[in-house]
Amino acid sequence: MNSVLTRRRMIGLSAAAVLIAVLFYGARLGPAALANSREITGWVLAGVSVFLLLFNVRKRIPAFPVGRGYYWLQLHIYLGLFSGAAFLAHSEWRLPTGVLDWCLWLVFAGVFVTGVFGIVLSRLVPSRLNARGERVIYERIPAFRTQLAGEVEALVLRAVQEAASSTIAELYVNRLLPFLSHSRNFWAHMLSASDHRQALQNEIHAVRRYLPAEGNAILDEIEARVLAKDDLDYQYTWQSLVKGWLLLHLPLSCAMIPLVVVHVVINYAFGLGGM
Amino acid sequence: MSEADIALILAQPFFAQIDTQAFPAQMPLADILSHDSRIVRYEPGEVIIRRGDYGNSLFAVVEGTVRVLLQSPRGLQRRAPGQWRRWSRAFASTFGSRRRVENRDLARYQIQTGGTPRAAYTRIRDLDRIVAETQTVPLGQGEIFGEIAALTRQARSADVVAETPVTAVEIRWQGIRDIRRFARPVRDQLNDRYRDRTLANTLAREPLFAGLDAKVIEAIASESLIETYGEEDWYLRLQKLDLAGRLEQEPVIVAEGHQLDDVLFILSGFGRVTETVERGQRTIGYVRAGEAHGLRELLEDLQSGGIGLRRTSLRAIGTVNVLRIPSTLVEHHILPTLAPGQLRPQQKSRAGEDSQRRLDFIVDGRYMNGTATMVIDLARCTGCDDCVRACASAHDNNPRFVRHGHSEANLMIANACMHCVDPVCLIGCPTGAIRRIEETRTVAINDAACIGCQTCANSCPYSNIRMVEIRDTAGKPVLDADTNQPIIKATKCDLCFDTPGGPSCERACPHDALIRMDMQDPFSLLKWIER
Ligand code: SF4
Ligand code: SF4
Repeated sequence: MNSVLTRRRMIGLSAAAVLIAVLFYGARLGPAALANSREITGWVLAGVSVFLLLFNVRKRIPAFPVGRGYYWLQLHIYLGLFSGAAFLAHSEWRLPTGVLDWCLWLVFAGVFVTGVFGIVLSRLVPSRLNARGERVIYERIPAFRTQLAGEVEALVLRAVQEAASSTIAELYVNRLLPFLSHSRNFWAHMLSASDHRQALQNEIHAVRRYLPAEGNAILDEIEARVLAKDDLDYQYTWQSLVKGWLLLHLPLSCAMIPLVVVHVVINYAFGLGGM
Repeated sequence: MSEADIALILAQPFFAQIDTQAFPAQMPLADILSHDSRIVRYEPGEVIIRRGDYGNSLFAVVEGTVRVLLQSPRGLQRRAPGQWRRWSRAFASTFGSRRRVENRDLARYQIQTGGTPRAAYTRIRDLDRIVAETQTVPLGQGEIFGEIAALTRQARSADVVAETPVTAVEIRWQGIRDIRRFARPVRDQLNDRYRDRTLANTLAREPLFAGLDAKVIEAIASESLIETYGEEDWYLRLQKLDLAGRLEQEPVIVAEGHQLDDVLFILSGFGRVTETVERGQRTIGYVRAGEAHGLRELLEDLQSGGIGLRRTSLRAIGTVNVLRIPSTLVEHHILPTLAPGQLRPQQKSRAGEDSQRRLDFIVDGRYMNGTATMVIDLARCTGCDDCVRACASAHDNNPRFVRHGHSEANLMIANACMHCVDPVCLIGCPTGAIRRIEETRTVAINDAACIGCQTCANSCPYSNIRMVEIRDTAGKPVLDADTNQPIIKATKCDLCFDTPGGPSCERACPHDALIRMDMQDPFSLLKWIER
């Protein structure tokens, strides 16, 4: 698990490489040995795409014994990589010409890029989620955020009453309230940067010297909650990425189906036999 | 309980034999009875105990007659569904509406229960016919029953039904434990009954004794000692366990450095295996019901030419019942029949710092209780929730687990029913709705029989049962006719026992991050997590 090139991965990559080599060799031989290399690579690509789409079908029938999701994903990944090579072979390394072909090209590129992004994300996310704060259930994050905001508000009121401090109230209104009310610092969390966190802490520490002892004790509690909220934002960012990337990959994959059908029909209708 | 009740109980033959002077002044017999027993009354036909239930009490008949039914009547049993049902469930869950959440077909409830679930599952209407047609045993005034399940927390082995109006004394296992502690004749009597009626059969079902013929097993049963250690149920203080002092709280069953002259077979409960490291004790493994401690040490000693001293200690986690089998019997009868894989290697040989912490985590959280614990590898889990969606799809569109739980480094035990070796959630269910299905060893809830009393949800020490409000097929909340309150039902993971492919969560995980694992062997878990 720790090494990037595990045995399983080596096998998968080798299999994909062999398939790609066979495809390119077949495509090169095509005009001589076979009727039309574009037609062959086109149908290979269509077949692979159908199989790639079946992964989503597998997810929707979990009650049936149709193989473990893990093996499906492995096949999906390696065939997905293979489909990229098949696409290049099919397009013969050239950019498309017509509007429809451009659409198909762009949508395929979108599916491929989001797919690769998904692979990278699945490798990255577990360690990121373990790095800071507790792994909180995504749907519960807003409730936890509200809870923390409520606790901070109660502490600020206590500070006003018990420590007769308006400094904390000012800090709360100007700085903490906007921070606590929404999820913040998406990009910073994505880049695992912590400048904003440090800045917040500095601002909290800056008011300490104006506070009596009780006020400082309350400020400690406030600071702990502010940091907990930052950890929540961090979890929210990474979990949003996990949920969000599929919202790109899946619709783009579905959009490919009609485009491919039209592409095939047009090419056969006009007797082009390929593109 | 009133003094008259206590006097009535003490007049029963089982209690009359007890020497009240043997009890310490701070714990007199009358106090034990007043805390741990009660007088119960049953109408004819009422089910007192049900085969398969996990009772924790013994009964003594004060008045009337009960019938022990040696074959379970239909309706009280719970079986795994056949192939046809499994496939039809798979179709229904896949192609049914995703918007229907916790919907129930109320007409089918009526057919299954013939009225209110409680009446249907707690009363037998045609007892006379059952008595005439099947094998039953009558028990009358002064007789006791249910003591074996109460002592060893095995499933009840027969149904017991009131034949006439019955008055009985029910005494909880804590009371029996205290009485056994101070009243030797009672202890001997109960141990003898257990030995005569059940022990040989129990042993015969265990893999360790599989290679032995019935006579040898009987000899082992009669020559071994039955002992009980620990005073508290393992689950009672689970939430407020003082980890720092945990080892001191666990009584030593056998100590490292002592002569290895017997092997401890665990009849019920859990034991912690420790070894001395400098001046402290380190957990190196655990044993649970059906396993033995000292077997490997004995084998190693015999191979090196003589029985020596114990290299490890065994401590009781909660109350543990053990069978102390003399080493000579083990050497002559059991060891020659064992296959090599039946002896578990010592944890010691593998323990690195990480493995050690994980092992402590498993034992301290009592996760070794699980036969199908949901373990998530946080080094792989992306939080994609495919497992949750798969579970929801297979279960009325409402997942039966929460993908969250206690964790130690990258090992997380999710909040999903573990299908425990000792399923304490079963204790006290008034209709027997929550049962263990013997063919699959799965703990499942019969939805039609569940009356929503929450006993199981309150009993599960891992908080793995959730109560849900049900809806009818039109999606409207179902209300109780008397109280007008929503009807609730207990739900939990059933290991997809009624769908064709087994646990959907495990099969769905695209990152190989989730597994349902029998915690019998910590090595498999450690190997999986470190793969
Ligand atoms: S509900 Fe709780 S006690 Fe019962 S089997 Fe499941 S995890 Fe164990
Ligand atoms: S399916 Fe696997 S990776 Fe996804 S949330 Fe469940 S355990 Fe984690």
